[in-house]
Amino acid sequence: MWRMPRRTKSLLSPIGVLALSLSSVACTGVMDTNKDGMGPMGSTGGGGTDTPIDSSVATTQPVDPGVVGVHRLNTSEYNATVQDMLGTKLAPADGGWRGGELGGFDNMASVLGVDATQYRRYFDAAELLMKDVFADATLRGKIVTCATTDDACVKSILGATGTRIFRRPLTAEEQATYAKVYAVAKAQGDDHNASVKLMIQALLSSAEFLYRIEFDSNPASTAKHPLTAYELASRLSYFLWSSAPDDQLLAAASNNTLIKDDVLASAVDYMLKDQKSNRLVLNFAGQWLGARRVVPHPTAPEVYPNWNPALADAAAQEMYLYFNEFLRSTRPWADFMTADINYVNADSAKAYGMMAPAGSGMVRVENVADGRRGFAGLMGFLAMSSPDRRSSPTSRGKWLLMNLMCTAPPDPPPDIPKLEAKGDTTTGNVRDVLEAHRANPACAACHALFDPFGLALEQYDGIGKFRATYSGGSTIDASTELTPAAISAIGYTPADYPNGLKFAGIETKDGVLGIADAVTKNPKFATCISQKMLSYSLGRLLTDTDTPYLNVVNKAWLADPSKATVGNLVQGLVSTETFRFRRGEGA
Amino acid sequence: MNRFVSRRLVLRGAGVALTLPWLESLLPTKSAQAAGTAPKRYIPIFLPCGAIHNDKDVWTPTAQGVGAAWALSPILDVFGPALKAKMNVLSHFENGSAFNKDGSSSVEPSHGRQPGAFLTCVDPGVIRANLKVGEANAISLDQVMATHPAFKDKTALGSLQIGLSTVYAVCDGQPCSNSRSISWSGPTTPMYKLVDPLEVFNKLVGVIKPAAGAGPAVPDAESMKRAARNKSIIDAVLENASRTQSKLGAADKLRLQEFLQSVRDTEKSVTGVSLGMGGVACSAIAAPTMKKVTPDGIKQNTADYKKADHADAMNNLIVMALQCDATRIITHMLEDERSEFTYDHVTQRDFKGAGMSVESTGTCPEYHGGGQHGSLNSFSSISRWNASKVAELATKLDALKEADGTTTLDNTVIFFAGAMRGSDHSCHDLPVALIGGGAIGLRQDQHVDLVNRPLRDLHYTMMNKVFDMGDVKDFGQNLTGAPIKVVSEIVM
Repeated sequence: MWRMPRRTKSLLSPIGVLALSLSSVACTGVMDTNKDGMGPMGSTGGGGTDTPIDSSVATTQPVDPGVVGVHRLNTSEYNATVQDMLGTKLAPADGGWRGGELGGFDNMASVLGVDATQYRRYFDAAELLMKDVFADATLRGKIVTCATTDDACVKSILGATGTRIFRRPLTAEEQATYAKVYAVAKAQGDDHNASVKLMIQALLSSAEFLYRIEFDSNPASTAKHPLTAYELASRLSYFLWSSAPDDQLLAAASNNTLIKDDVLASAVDYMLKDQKSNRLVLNFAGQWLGARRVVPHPTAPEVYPNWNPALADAAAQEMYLYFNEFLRSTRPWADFMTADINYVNADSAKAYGMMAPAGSGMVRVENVADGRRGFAGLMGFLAMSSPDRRSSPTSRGKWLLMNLMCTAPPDPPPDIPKLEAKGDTTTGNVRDVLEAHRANPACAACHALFDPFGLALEQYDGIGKFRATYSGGSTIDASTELTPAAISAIGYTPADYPNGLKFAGIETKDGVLGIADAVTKNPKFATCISQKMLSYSLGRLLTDTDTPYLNVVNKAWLADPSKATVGNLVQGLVSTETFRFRRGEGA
Repeated sequence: MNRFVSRRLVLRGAGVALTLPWLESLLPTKSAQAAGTAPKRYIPIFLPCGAIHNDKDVWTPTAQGVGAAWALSPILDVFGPALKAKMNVLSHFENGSAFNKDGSSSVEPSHGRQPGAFLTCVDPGVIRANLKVGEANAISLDQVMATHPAFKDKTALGSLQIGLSTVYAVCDGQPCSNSRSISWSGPTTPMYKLVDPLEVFNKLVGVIKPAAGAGPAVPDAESMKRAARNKSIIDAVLENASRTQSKLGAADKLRLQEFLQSVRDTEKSVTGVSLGMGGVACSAIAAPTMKKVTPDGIKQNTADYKKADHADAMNNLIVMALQCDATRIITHMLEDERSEFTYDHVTQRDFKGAGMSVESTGTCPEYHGGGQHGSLNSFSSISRWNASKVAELATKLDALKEADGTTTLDNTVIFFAGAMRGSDHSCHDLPVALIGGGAIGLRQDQHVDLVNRPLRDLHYTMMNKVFDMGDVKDFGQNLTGAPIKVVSEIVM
């Protein structure tokens, strides 16, 4: 049933298209960078547990879809929405617009408030957009579909364009409200086009456009109920496209077929094949995996003279493309830490010590001889998770633990001794310094949970370049271990590792595990992505009542390891009640 | 055509200025006034990451006392003798009692939580839990003041929020508004500050009255029409959102309430045909020329971005805003808490001994991994640079004469402070200095050790004793149960 109007190159070569659109986005400066607000130390993940809304609701059975609040479009959603919906090329929202993040994502409803300054920006942007759209005969023609100045024409325009803008049909009362704007414009002497223009400008200035609003027939009841097909279409489109439903989704909502399991599943397929789903890579993976942080990552030029904007851009693009491959291929998620693939251009190939590819674009390479593989071997990750002038095993280890194993270590104690005071940093041997630091039992308890993951990556400097020795000449020892105490504290099954878990470097060799495998073996690794993705898709932090739904999704998704792909995870999450239902917040 | 828009477009497009002589010649054209009639202004300036390093305290003056009895510290010496004579350095204020029942100093995660209580003296987490929403706080001091009859409707802008943030701060898992917004106009509405100097400038020139003869006396027909059209949009938006709001649950209603309020606040500016709502007739300074700044991506100084130029531009705008009486309350964040901006323009001083080293400094909160808040020298050099920008602002305000012969600084309280002590992340012993206020009831030229006095007492004192808000009887929270008290040490 789904027509695939964009089924052009994107289907045959989604990666090529992504690369293309990513670079064009990066060049025009439209892409939001560094919205996640997570430093090298990371933050609590999207899987962080907020205060349960109603602790009396049973938490073992999937019974409570939770409460999703009204959700103001964030900067990237606003730009994508007006571009898709109106055909404009303008991107009025910029980094100066109001935004907030929570749990590592900038699409969390609870921190997307508005104030008068921000509302004025919306008000001005609506005028700007209408000016642009009405100056183009084709775009204007899509809105002004009739030329008579009677009620019927106005209603017909509100019926078609109004539905696109509000993502649902307007009620009769609403039509009357906005028709008044048309009438005022006429009374001021505006012609038909100008009057329609003002009316559409009013729709674009409205809460019902600027917020995604879902309704409960009884907000005081906590009984769950299915979303309307229109509400479901919006949840889907903002999850996968960061944008409004297109006409096909609105049609499937209009005839109410979208709420059927098979139609919903085919809608997801259709949407993932559309290149608009590149925004899932940019906005979800870009924030979760830190790709947005790479370009603005500060480095000290006297330490890393070769790090420059072009290289940073290539490193960021590689992270997007790496995740993109998992989103769009049959490669299971379990390969994320171990897949031996890179995406390079001439700049980054040189930095990696590989042969430069021909041409100027990003090229996919499999290089088994480069001593690195998997996500943790990507230059972008290794740089983004470091301070500006050295590597930090603590930063890298903590980032991996929090973001890929969904485990937050306890807060540091109030009086932390300083690193410099405990060892000599002039040799560049951070490991020695860290060992001294860990001699303090108060520090050791926490550091034992995450430092090992970072110590195994010490052969990669603060911009991800391979090194065998520190600047002072001492040889780098990438061997490390998780103690039995740490093993049980961060989610491994203790019985599997009675003597702890030893590993060294990224790759497994000579019978010694590499960090890539050590992370993959953590039982929380496979389920961490579902936690992060569910939080992103709902635009809220998860609560205890989400766990039973996640358990169901994970069980089905991971049942056949060869089919545990990101695409199948998306299908699994979308099929759950937590995505398709809602409830009121109660009295 | 609406004058606000036309003027703004012209300025943005051509970079031209309404260039007029600077400083005293820009004085509002007012007739001479009796002493004590100058407007009172309040300017909280947020110092990120505190200022006191565990290795050595180079913020706090060594001796207490008045006048010659105390001397400026190595960080505060940038204020120099003229401003020292108009300062209060107040050591050992604490804000731990807003968070902890025993009033203790540990509030973790510190960077993500302590700034939230900077101007509210309430733990935002408690308000969030009460309202069952993800982002909330108490109304901040500046907004309590802006909506009080002592300030309300006296100026075109009730208040102004600005800052120098060019990169999103790390939020430590807390709502980022805690570390990026010190002003809260409603329980769920952190006020996002403007960081682009031109945007601040446009906001100000949009509300000040043109000097006599500089603007049209009667609005033209086109701007009347435009006002009517905008009014019809605002009416439709309010009508529909009110209807939608009535169908929602409590938390969503609150969100829509915030929306409705924002629309109403916007209505004035898009439907007014006259300019200068309440502003004193006054001329603008030259439009800032620096490249547009957004709060999300500049992590170090570049060819296009110089932190010092940014700071200077904002200082000039603060001066213009006060001089034109566009607003009397401005909150200014020198940086977000736990920003990762690298202060590579700051020459590192040696605070341990004599002499200067030439190393550039790192980020302010090189947290934990690099030693907390970096070394004594890098951390203190950054704090001292920040203090120098406050001193420059104070100097400019002290050069402006009011009609009654006092200076603008004498009628302004600059509350220059951090939300944490410094490298130990303690919520006790906060770095706090007040600059100015000599004509409106503040004692001057003293360093007082307040021995763990709750910060809310200071905020209360401002309202109660300095800003004519004697009817306000309480502010913030003190979980230890200690009653609120005037800080009598600072008032005349």
